[in-house]
Amino acid sequence: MASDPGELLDELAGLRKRARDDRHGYWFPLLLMGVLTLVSLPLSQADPNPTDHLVDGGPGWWMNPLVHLRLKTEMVHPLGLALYWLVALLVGVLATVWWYRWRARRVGVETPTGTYVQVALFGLVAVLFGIPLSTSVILHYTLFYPTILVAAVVMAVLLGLALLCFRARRWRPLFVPLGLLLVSVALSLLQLPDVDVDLGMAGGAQFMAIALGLVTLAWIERSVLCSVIAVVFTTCVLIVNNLSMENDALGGAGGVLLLAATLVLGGLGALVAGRASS
Amino acid sequence: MTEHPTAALDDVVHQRHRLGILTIAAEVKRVEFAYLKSTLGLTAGNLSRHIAVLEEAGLLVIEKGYEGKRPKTWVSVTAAGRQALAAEMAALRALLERHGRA
Repeated sequence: MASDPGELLDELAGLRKRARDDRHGYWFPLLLMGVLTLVSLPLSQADPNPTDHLVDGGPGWWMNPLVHLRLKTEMVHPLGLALYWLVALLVGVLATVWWYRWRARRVGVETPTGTYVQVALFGLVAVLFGIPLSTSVILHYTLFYPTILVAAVVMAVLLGLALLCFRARRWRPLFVPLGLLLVSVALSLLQLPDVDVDLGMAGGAQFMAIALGLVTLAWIERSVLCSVIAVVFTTCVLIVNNLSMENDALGGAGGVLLLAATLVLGGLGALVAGRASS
Repeated sequence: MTEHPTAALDDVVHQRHRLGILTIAAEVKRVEFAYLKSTLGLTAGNLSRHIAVLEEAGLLVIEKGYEGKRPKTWVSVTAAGRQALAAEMAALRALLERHGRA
């Protein structure tokens, strides 16, 4: 028995690390979302004659959730792509939960997935309804013009309050969704004209939802590698959503291919790293 | 005069294997009996006794079931278990700091 407190603490740290390594299984959701993104490529082709069917632009299009699941360019199958992503995101969440439970039965340690499900579903609702709604409300009913400085201050306050909600020890079923709501409103400030960061509201919101899910997985897995992959993917999503990809060789699908490659390579890298450490 | 850190050590928790069980259980949602047995290098009887002590103290919850025909026992830590583990770790760190200064 380790009688020295230092030795005992080191021994416990080793046990914690081993349990953490044994429960890591994030390579599967990474690969799954990568494959689902690759499968969306045939539906992601840009329309060579976009003026043939200009359907957007009516007063209510911004609040149609399916609009956010398309891409920024005019497409051949806009409705097909939006419906595909709606189903794919739900399947992705369900398959991830199933995977962690199946893996727990084989390995003997189970990763808690409750927070992931909460954030993934809330994130989906946020990118489809919450962020567009709060952006519209801020734009139409704000008492003063939201400059970059105002947006930054309000965002800092909202994110600070959200952090307090996430750290609440009591009433967590109430405070966690409240914190997510505050994050959603804070993120919508990025969409203001003076800040002008597109979170996918003009198309590509599905990738923002995936990024949110990955960041949550990195948190519950307490994994540095998963955190790095989540940050790289989120950065790629912001680049794809904010740069014009209309003139790429794949007719607008180049951004989708970049995101799919990031997920697939991240998943394969995580799988190899997991095998090497076990 | 400040209390000596050993006064904060809990007799139920301050045992190497029980600390190990709590540490692993606190890291996951739930852990299977066989995993604890192989990771901690204990016999089934020994592990059962430690788990029973921790369950009696309200620090662990035991869930018994079957997977196919094989019986499975899952162990998860309670909120009181997390608090007890955190207190024990803090006491050990305080003890280490005191030794370091001496």
